[in-house]
Amino acid sequence: MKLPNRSQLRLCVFAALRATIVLFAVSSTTTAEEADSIDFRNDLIPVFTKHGCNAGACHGAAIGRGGFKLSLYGGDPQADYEAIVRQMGGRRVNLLNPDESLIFLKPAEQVEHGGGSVFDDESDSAQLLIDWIKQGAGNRTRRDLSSVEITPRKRVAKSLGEPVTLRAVAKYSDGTSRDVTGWTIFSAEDPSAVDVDPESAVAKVLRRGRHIVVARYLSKVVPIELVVPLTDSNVDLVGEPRNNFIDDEILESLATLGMTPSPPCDDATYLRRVYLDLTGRLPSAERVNEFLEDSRPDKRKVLVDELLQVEEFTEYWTLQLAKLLRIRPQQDDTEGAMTYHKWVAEQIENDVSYKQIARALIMATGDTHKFGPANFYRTDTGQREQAEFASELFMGSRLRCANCHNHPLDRWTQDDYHGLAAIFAKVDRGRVVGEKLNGQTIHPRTLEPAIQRIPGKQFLAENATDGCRQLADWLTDSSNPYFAKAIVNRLWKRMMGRGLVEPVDDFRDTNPATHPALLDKLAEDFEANGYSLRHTLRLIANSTTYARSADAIVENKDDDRFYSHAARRPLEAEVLSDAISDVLGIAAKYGSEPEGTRAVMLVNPKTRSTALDILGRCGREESCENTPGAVGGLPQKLHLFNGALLNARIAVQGSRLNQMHASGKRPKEIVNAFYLTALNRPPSAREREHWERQLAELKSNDAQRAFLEDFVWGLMTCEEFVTNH
Amino acid sequence: MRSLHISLLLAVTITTTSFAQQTGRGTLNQHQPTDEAQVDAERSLKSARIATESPITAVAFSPDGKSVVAVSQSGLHVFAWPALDRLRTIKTSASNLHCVEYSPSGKCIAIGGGNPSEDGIVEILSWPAGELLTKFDDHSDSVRSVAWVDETRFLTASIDREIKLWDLEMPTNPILTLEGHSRSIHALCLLTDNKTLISAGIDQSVRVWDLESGELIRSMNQHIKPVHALALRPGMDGLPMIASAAGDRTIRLWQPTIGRMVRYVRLDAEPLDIAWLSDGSRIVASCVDGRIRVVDPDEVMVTQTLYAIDEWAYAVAIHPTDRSILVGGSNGQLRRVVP
Repeated sequence: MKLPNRSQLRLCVFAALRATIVLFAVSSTTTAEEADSIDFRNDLIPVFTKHGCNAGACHGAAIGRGGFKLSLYGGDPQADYEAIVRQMGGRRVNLLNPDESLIFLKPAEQVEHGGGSVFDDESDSAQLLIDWIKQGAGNRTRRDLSSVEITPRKRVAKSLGEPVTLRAVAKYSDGTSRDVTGWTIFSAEDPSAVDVDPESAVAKVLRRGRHIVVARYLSKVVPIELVVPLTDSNVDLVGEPRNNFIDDEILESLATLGMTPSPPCDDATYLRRVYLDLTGRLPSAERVNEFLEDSRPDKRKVLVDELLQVEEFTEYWTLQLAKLLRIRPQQDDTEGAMTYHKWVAEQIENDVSYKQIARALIMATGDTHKFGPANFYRTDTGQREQAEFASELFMGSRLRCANCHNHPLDRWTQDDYHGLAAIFAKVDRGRVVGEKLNGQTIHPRTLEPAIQRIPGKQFLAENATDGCRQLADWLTDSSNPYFAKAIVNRLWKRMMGRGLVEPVDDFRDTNPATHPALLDKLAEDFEANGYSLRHTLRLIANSTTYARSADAIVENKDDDRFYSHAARRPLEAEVLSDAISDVLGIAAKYGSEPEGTRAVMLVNPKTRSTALDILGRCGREESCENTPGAVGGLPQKLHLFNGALLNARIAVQGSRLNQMHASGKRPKEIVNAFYLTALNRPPSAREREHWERQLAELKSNDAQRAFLEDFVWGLMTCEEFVTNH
Repeated sequence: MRSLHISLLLAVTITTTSFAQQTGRGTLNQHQPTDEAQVDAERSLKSARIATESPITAVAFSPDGKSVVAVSQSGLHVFAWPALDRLRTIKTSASNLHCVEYSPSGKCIAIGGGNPSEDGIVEILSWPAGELLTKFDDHSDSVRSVAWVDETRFLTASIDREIKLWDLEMPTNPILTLEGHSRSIHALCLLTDNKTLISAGIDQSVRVWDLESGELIRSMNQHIKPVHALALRPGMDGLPMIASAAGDRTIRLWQPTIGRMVRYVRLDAEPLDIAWLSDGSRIVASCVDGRIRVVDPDEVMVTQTLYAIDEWAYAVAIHPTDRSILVGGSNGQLRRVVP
């Protein structure tokens, strides 16, 4: 095989690249020959990345493709070198006839290639590859990549289609730098919203809003934020009411986007919302009336303070932490789970700092039947699973990707993953949790015991026996970049319906927060206030942002992440089940638990319950954070509409409706009472008029009774009841 | 263990050559025992990590032990033993060569390889004349291993996942094709009954075949990385035993006729090829760090670690009579090591 007209084929980009290599690589200590040589790590791997050869869908897959495996996005250059030059008897590189090398023939599709033609045999990429083989296919690296500087990092464009020229400059350990734009991949998170021309690296926003483009060069990934305001007109939000820094940050981003927020919600809506968020319960009809009649200007603030102190707050937020910690009986060990749950309830009740809770969990030892936090180490079956769980819990980071390969979109390496697992391997995870000095986990790459390591930081001493303490110290130190942010983001999601970082367990540079400054401030404030969960919940509940109406207006109807209006959130299975019981006046039965037990108080998430099965509970074997709310799916809706969950309980002996009939309540009073109990508001004039007209048409008591049953059914299957809004 | 190996290294006698030296670009004295200092100096010289020669991928001693053959992308090379003077080079039609085997009588030699992703080729040469007798090219990708059944029949294993049995008289049609491996096959090993074949490769399995029926008898799956090499233990009276070397850094010992993995030893570097001493008392493994490891198969422990070449040592062979070891690998290096 011969490359025709090779000299003509060196296109401008390649010439510039080579010139740049030479220009910046030459130093007083490097020879001309060295400077001219192609650097496998810094010059060639970007070629493979640029063409997608080492992507997960191609040879970067965990098992490679077609018998050829590259590290994902070039995360392990040494392994890539060996795969290309050494493995399979060196058959991929032909030193005698470079253009007969398989590593060239395949992507140029001169022999059959499952991935088709990746580059032209006359392209810059092909030429670089051939030249490298001609030079002896060496693994010489003159310098290490330190960072990649992307410009711009953020651009607010005035209109759609406005070109934004992207640039990437690599900075090296020897102080040199060079333009690597041509070898950097710019990929829009939503290609339908942003178009990036791979040749010129010019981006154009196609849809209004805020969009992320991820730049990747070698192991470095950098997010770029591109914004086009939703309207061309300026939106002045200076006069909008603000209660705390949350409102400042949210309004600033809305102003940037040219988005008008919805007005504040009414008192009844706020009451229902904050009751559900802080106690997992609906306010009683009496409480609704009382609140609506309260004329104090600070009544919402007073309400929040009150709810944060009630027993129901402890019950509900114990459930939230129980889900977060995945508390469940392990191997039918109910006693351990009960002890753990009780301990969590005590922490919530006493407003123990989250930092103290985390430290107690990580450093826990002792009998799991007597000491609750020791059950933390019984959550998962092995040290690797424990490492994944702990990283998602305390750092909001998915280390699990780094089990098989260095994380492609984040900083985590296999050393981080298995190093953290090695720390947990030193913990005996029996009923009595304690030290296991000979515990180890095998690193799959080295096939040797992994060395204990603080993720992203440092290896621990080989004989370290206090790995958990060192981990706890690092994690809960005020300088830790993950700990406080991970939990305040979860609290934010719980209250607002969407995390500032979403998913909440996927913090990484390439998944930036929608409001990074707000996240920083929330974390700082959390830390400054003793890592108090109650404090941050209060802060959020008191913001005007939290108190916005869930009714979108024309100007913000498409917003699903900038908090211009409140989100309508499906109720959790436990909350909805309790709410149904409360409204109907008939308690649901949960396994062998005593009569009157509420779903939010169940320790075992698998307690026998048809209601919870129908409503879609989370079993806590995995994270519950991505579980859809109750009645989110069609089967749940059909069960709710047609099943026994409602229909068998509406009018039975002892139900609220039955008792109201028995006590001689008039239909109009019954309608009003159910509105207050289920929807936590009085019916509107139009609704009242509608129901009165319907009832007036029914002459017999039986007909009115039957109608009222249907009315209750209708009320409890409507969107307004099954969501927090 | 490490200090023991270093002290043993001092006692090693090494003879070395590379094609660069043979073609006038190298001036290293050959046949001279080199001490550790010389070896280190040479090692540092080559640590620039720029390959100038194709790697040697397979080596074999002639039956009389007076010469050796080695294959690389540049062809089949013949060297005098123990001097390692290059006697001749024979070009082949394959751009890559991966295996070389003398026929039982030594009158023929089979060279396996191919043009990657295009064809798998075996050329049969008369020996010592080196004339091409027959060419077999029915595989669709390179041949990685070849094993003679008798003077007229031989087996080939290919990256195309097939094993084929050939007769010298019928170069266009294999007598038998064995299918079952899910990925490239790297190694073959024929038991002395001449009907039980062992194969292994990237799919991590060690498979046992009945050549008479063409049936797969069993698949043994203890390896957790690709298997690179197989070797039959000589001098066994009872059940035959084979050794397998794999990317999981283990050498495993098997009794293939009953499907039992007997024991294994984990090395501190990945073995690429293995060979038994002729009395079956030791396994010699050539590894990715350029060293060879001598393994006691009964105690399953490494008894010696010896420096051989820089970088990957793809191939190892044991002299039929004098126990010296021939190692070939990266950058065309070929070295004689006497443990």
